Amino acid sequence: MNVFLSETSAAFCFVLILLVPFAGAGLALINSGLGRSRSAAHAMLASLCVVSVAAIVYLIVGFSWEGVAGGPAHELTLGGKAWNWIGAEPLFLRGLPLDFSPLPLIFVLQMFSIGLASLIPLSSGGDRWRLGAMCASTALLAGWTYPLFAHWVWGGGWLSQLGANYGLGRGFLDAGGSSTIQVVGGLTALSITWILGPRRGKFSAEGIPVALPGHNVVLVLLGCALAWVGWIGLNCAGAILFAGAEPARCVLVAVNTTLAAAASGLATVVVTRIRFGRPDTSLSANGWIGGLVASSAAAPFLKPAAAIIVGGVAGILVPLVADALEFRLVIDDPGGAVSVHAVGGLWGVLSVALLSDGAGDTSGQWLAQVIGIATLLGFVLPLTYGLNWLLDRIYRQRVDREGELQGLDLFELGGGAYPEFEIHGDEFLQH
Amino acid sequence: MVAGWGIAVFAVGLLPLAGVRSAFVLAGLATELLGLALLVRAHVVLDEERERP
Repeated sequence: MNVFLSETSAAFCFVLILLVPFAGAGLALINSGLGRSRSAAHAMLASLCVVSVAAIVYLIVGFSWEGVAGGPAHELTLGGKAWNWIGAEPLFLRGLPLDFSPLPLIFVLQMFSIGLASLIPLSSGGDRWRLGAMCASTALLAGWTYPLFAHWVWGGGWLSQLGANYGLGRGFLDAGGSSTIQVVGGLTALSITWILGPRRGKFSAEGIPVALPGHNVVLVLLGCALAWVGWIGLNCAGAILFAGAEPARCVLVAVNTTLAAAASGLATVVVTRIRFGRPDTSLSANGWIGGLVASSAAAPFLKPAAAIIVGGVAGILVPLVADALEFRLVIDDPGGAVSVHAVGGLWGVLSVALLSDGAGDTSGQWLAQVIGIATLLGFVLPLTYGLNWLLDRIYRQRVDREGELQGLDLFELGGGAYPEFEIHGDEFLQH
Repeated sequence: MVAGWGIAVFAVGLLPLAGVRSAFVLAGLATELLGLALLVRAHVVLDEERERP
């Protein structure tokens, strides 16, 4: 989809893009708050490091392979139709004017988005993932997994052309990155939890999970507020640059984003109140983020009432899936990245076909969205799992036993986040 | 999981009838879910072995 913007619209879009780092700051605070106090500084430094690695790798190769709609790309022919599978822009942004034209705006938005995606796995690898391994894994995500899938969705790739080539609605639709940013990040987080294994002491010998509460829920809630601002920028800028929406539609996008988060947060409060007798703060914060995640795909295409449904369903899914992952599937995901970003994102992708207003041919749109989901589960998950498994063979990703017991702050950084306070061991664990 | 994705993609590329195409895409997705279930099961067993002293 080629975008044409007046100078005023481009400046407005640029301001929206500048809000996106708030979403990253929010996720970083949430990751740190949901982790343990003895790894808090490590979690924040790791966030800065992975965002830095992602930006540099994306500049070197990522943008070249992601490309933009209508730009140079490599194609394969299947059944007489061209399948555009990878971009072919110059490496290192060579020849790209850094001004208010759509191409550089897309680059800046993508550079921030890949930073956001790279923060998601940090949440699942908390308290046991080495800093060097985080950076190496992020390089694989920013250099290969993310650009490839984002090209298929936003860079004029085969998923976006399912409508033009095969009459499937408007092709795979995702305006703000429920799939490209959130599900890709969430599936990488799932791979990381499997490769690292659970935290020491998380499961008893019988496989019963032990509660390891986050160390600072105030940080988590502050992170939610920051993420809200960032998400409004992300969804509005995505609507303009990837869905071809008029800048005036940003009012609807901001309303829908807020309503989805609100409905989701409240739904999680109710679900946890029913399930545990009291609302659970950490899970409710995750519910809020789950609503933001789910809103991204369809925010420009929804009526406000539909946004409440999108958020409400996300808010029910997030705590139930988080529970199932821990209790039934023995997956230790300290920050809930899999339930929030992978499951919330998949629901957001489906909601485009189910609830959007004027997305075109409904049955064709359904099939296009299902093919997108099939690609995420059948291609992106094996790819990101395989890359991280190979990395683990070359460079072990999990910290030593001693480091895990000592805390990553002291073990990897030589100093803690809270030097004036006593850092507790495992005696506070709720069995 | 990759095989399921292959089924879904080739169904879109090669099958012209909408009904048959949809059926094969859903079959591909079902194959992926089966693969995902096996992957989950494999990791549950692996984690149980890790926990054993």
